[in-house]
Order: sequence, then C-alpha cells, then structure tokens
Amino acid sequence: MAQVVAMILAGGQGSRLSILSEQRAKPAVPFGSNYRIIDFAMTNVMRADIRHMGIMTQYRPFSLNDHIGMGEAWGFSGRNHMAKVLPPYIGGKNSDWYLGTADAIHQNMWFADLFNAEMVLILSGDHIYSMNYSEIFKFHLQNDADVTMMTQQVPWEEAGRFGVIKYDKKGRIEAFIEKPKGEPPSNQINLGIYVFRASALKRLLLEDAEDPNSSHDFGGNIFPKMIKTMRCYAQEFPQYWRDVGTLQSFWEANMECVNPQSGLDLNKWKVFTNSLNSPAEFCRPTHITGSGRVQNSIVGKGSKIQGQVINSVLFGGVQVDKGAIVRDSVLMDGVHVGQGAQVTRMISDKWVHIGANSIIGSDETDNPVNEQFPDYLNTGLTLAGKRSHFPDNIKVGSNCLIYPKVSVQQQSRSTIPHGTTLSGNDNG
Amino acid sequence: MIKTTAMILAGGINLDFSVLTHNRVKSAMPVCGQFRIIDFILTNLSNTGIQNVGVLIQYLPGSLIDHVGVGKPWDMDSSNRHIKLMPPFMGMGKTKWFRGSGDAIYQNLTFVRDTKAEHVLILTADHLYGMNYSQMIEQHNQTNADLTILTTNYPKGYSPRLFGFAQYGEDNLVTHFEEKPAEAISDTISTGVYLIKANVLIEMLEQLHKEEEINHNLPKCVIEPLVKAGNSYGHRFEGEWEYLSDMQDYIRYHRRLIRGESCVDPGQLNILTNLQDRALGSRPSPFFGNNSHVEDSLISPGCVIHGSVVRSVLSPGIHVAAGAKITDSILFHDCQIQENAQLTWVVSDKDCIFESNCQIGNREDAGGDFEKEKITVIGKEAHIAQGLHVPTGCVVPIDKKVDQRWIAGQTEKTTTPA
Repeated sequence: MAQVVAMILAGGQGSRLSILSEQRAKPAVPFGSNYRIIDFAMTNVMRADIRHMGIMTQYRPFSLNDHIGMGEAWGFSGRNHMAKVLPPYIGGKNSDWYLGTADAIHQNMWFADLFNAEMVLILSGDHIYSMNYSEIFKFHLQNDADVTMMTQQVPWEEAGRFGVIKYDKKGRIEAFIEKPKGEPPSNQINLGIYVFRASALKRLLLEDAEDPNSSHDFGGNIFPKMIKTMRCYAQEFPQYWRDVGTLQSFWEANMECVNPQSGLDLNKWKVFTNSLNSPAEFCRPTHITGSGRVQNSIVGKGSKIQGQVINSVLFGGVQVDKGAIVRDSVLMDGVHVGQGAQVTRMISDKWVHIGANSIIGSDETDNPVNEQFPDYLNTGLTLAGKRSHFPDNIKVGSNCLIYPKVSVQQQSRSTIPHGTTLSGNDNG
Repeated sequence: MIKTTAMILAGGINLDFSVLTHNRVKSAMPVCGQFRIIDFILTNLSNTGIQNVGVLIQYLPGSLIDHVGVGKPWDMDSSNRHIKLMPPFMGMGKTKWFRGSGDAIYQNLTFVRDTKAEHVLILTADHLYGMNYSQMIEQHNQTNADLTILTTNYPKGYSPRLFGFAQYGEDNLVTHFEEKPAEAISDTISTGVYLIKANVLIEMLEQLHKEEEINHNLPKCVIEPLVKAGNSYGHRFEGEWEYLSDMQDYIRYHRRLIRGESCVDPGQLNILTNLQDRALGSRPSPFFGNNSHVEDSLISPGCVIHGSVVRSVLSPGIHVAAGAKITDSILFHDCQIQENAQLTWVVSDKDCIFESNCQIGNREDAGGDFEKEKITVIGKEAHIAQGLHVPTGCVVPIDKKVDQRWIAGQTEKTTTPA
C-alpha cells in the first residue's frame, strides 16, 4: 500500500461562528456534547490507518494544540505513528503567516517529505462527517490520478455558493469553477477533501508560490490550473457531510445529533476524542433526578437534570434545575440553568450561568436580526459567550449576542430586546 | 517528602458477589456505572503523590491488569512515577502462589528494597473513600512510629468478624489490636491501611519466615505483633468510608447514590478512572429518545434510551429499546434490552442480551425497599431468549443462553445471590 501522509488545515478562524471561535480556532469548537469539530477528521484519518499526520494551526491555537497533544487519543503514539501540530514559523525562505490553503501546505511540504509519501491527503478540520478514506486511495491509484477530490450533491440553487465540479461517469473532471455565477455547470460541490500525487502537489505548490498574483488557494488557484493538463478525478460522497461555518449550520448540525433520520449517527460513527482535558468533576454518569425529564436529547456526563430538556444537546457538567425548561438548545460544558428558567434556541458556550425564572430566546424565527452582526446572527438563535452571566428574572430576546465574561446587569432593563449585542463595555 | 512505597493488596479471592466475581477480582468490579472499585485507592495514591505503587494480584486479575495498565489515568506513567502489577511467580527458590496477605508482601520485598522505600504503605484494594495520605505519613514520621494504622468508626450492622479492631491509648497510640474478633472490642476499626517503617517490615517478615508455622495473614503476623511491641499509632479517618462486603451492600450503596444520600460519591471525590476502557472517554453522551422515560437514574456515556429507566444505574453503552422497562436495577456495560423487555431488581454483568418481551424478576416488586429476595443476577454475556420469564432469585451463569428448559430446571428455592 502506497504511503499516505494526512495534512489537516486547521488554521482558520471561522469568523461567522462569532464568539464561539473568537478565543479558539474553529476546529476546536466543541460539538455534539462530547467532541470538538476536528475529532471527525482525526478519527477518519485514524480509521484509514494513516500513520503520519500534520495539523496546520494558525488562529488562536491554544485549545486546539491542547486537545490534539501528540495525537495519542487517535492512536498516534510510538515510533511509527506521528501526529504533529504545524504552526507558521519564522526562518524559512518563504515563511510567513499562512497566506491561503495552498500556502499552508506549501510551507509544510517538508513535513510530508519526511515520510516519502506517495500520496498527500489534504483535509479541512472544520467538517462533520464519517468517511472511509481507504476507498478513495484505491480509486485514486486505479486512475493514476494527480488529484482526486470528493464531492457532494446540493440543490441546484445552492451550488453557486461553493466550488462546483463537473465530471464524467468515470470520475474524470471536466470543469472546476469557484462560486459560479449564473447557471452552474454541475450541482456537485467541492468538499475540501483532496488526495494528491505527492510529486504533482509539490510541483504545483512551487509554481504557485512564485506567482505574485495568486491568492494561494486550492479552489481559486491550484485546481483551475490543473484541470486542463493533469489527471484530475472526483468521486461523490453521498453520506452526511456538513461544514458548520455559520451559527445556523452549527446549531442545525448539533440538532442533527438528536435526529435519528439525519444521517449523523454518533453511536455508529464511533468518533474518538481527547477526554483527558475534560474536568475530573464531569467524569461521572449523567444524573436524571427529581422532576427531571429528558426528551429527544443528548445530555453529557456529569450533568444533573432536575428540569425539562427537550430536543437539545447538553455537554458535560450541565445543571438544569427544577422547573426549568430547555428547548432546541446547545449548552456547552458547565452551563447552569436556574430554577424555572426557560431557554429556547440558545447556543451557550461553557460555564454560563442562567438565572432563575429568566427567559432566554424564543421559538420565533422572524424577530429582528442582530444589529451589530446581522450576517452572523439572523435566524432566531441567542448566543452566549463563555462565562457570561444572566441574573434571575431577566428576559433576553432572539438574535442576541452576549460576549464572554459579560455579566448582564438587570438595573434599568429587565428585557434585552431582540438583536442586542452586549460586549464588555456597554452593559445594562 | 518521605520516601513511601505503596503496596495494594488486590489478590484475594472473593465470592460474595455471585457471578460478578466469578470472572474478575472484586476490586475490578464496576461501580457507579463507569468506575471500578480500585479507582478510589489509585486516585488517593495519585493525589498523595506516591511515586511507586505495587499492586499484588492473584485471583482472576485479567480485568484489573487491563484497567490499571501502566497507571496512566492516575498519573503514574512517568519517568519518576511507576505502578507495577505483581503476580505470583516461579523462581529457583520456593516461591509459590501467595498464601496470604503477609506472604504476598514477603514474596515482593525486593520491590520495597528496589524502590528504596523508607516506609511502606499497605492498602486493601477494595474500600471506597477519598483521602490524601500525606497527613497520615506526616504523623507517622513525627511520632517515629513503627506502624501507623488508618482507623475509622466501626460501621453499624456489620459482623465484627469482617474487621480488625483497634484500641486507642493516649496521643494516638494504639494499645491493642485484634483481627476479626468474635465480638467488637471497641468502636474503632482498621481501614486496612497500614504504614510501616520499611526496615521494620522487612526484618519482621524475614524473621517470621525462618519459623516453622507461619500465619500468612498480614494483620495476624505483622500488625498484631507490632501493636504489642508498643510503638504503633493510629490515624483517624473522619470522612465517609464504604465497605461493600457483599452483593447486598453493593446494591444498597447504589441506591443511596441515586437518591443523592450521604455516601461515598466518586463524582464528588473526582475519582479518576481509565477512560480508554471500552473507549469510555470517546463514547457519545447518552441519548434520550422521544418516548423515553428516565427517572432517578445514573446513565453513563454511550447509552441509548428509548424505553423506561427508573431508579437504576446504567454503565456505558446500554441500549434500551422502545417499550422496555428497567426498574431498580444495576446494569453493566453494553447490555442490550430489546423491545418491551422488563427488568425489575436486576443486577446484570456486561454484554448481556435481553430479547424482546422477556421478563426478569417480578414486575410487582418494582419500587419499595430493597430486599435481597427481590434480586435476580445475570452473569456476563448471558442471553435471555424472547418472551422468557426469568423468575426472581435466579442466578444466570456467565455465557448462559437461557431457554425455557433452563428456567424449568431451576428449582422452587430462591437462590439468594449474596
């Protein structure tokens, strides 16, 4: 079996995830009650028995580096297995902060070269899916391909938002167009999963690096050059795949964890994660007690539920007190929902306190969008940053954004209107 | 810090937990869903900063070996911290199966010497409590004691024959010690934790083995004589301490846990366990279906609940299908409970399959107080066929495929599990 080295692009901020990815890189964003987004790619690499992996970090990498460690949680330990975090570095001839996806790989080709890899598997650390890469390697080698990329069908009216790939029945790519205007040539979109012939990749990246007009991006620069002259192939991946790049898609994907029809099946996928950094006080069974009632939800370890939890994803150590109702929400580690509180369509980062009898969010989806960030928070969700604090009896509308560590003061108003942003400075 | 080497006695045979200890040593028994009994001691030693721990094993140690490994979960996998599993071994001399706790230590005195221990902390593997031993070690040093016994209050309702009893004199001196007496001689018992000067222990055990008749039981051959010699002290443990002597204690303990009553709670004590064990750390959080009903229960990661779970403790990976009802039960890892199966007052080992519509125990017994007569015990990897009724009090052996013929073969007498 030819040698494969995996390279995971995990440097992006994911700014559309707002405060969830402000203090941590997007792949480190907690997901699905027990995981971080990057766990899905890491587990897929582990399953394909790939022994060498580089993870390119850049934006706010501390949580991510801590989580990855030496890759032990995904079987990368010992002499023959290696997972390395690859940050940008000073010193190389062309080294700098990563200028684009192709540049990130280019600056780290030295790592891939260490293993004399014949194939380089390039992945994003941002996607939720379970895939058997071994099948793709077979297809790639059978076709003697320079590159094989994975695609998925989307509704035609959506295709214009993505990189679109047109290919024949045998998988040979005929056209690759980034965000096509007008009628797209195909409704198969680029999933950001590429298998390259190592020698071809190296040559392409070197050429691209010399080009001052390039934005050093695979979709924008590398692929359009390759299509005409090289052996480019594509394969469809019909199973669940999501890029959780927006708050709405992040929320939807979490909700899909509790929808047995969605195709996102955490029990079947058997995703591996690094649980060693999880607080010791969470490491105990979930306790449903008193008047606790849970319906269609996942509730993390160490949680104590005495209220109602409906259609929600609760992470570790979450406390829902008596009389409280949590609905359609994603509550991360350590969130405390006080007695009688009503929480609806909320995404809450870790360690947030929600006071007794407060009302957070609503199930109306057409309320005014967030004033400061209308593009990020506009579908009726309410977003609370890490360690923010909501007092008793407060009412917080939809599309509200509460920054990390903000203590929402009651004072003059007991209602925070729809679309309000509370950052550190203006408060109450 | 005074160089203290710990030795954990985890080798003993114990048959007081029915089929649950027919394939594993007691200290490897699952407890509180996702822990094992030995986790308490290992966590305590980790918190105390002990750098060398020996675990003496003998009876059915497989699960324990897998679980303890190189001690990674308890921070013991390091250049200057080690945990060593020590089974009986053949040598050129007369080494044999361990003939008792004292003999197990004697046969492993090399470990004491190699770790250059000044003191040896000997611990029983299977008590439940949270403690940092530093203060005890400090007291031992200040008093220049040969032996310090960790004591606690004699728990009500237990036979004195289960414990060693101590009598305190002045200033924590222990003036009298008797192992498993017919009657309680005081209100103070030994917790089975003994801190002994290394040279005293070595000398004593070596001297002992020159004699003809040896009592291989540690309390008899070492503790009682050391107390008589007059330089033995006691250190009082004031916290919650749990001793599970049999299946009934085990069940009562879990019932207190789910009611949130005062007891030794591994969650509150931050007890560390092996998260690699059946991928515990990576299992998805428990899923509660639309029509599930869960009340007063502890549910571990990887569980998928579509039916009803009431007053029960579920270990990781248990699937409860729609219509199934689990009441007053304790179920170990990865059992499958299929449609409309009913389990009442059941203690089940791992990997059991309960096919649809089967009934274990007596539905009418649901709720109410615990009585040992209500319990039915299921051994590991047992398989109960569709629609069968396993009567209360049965003990299903490990690996058993239960069919109507087997049930008919069970006599009228209720086989008490404990």
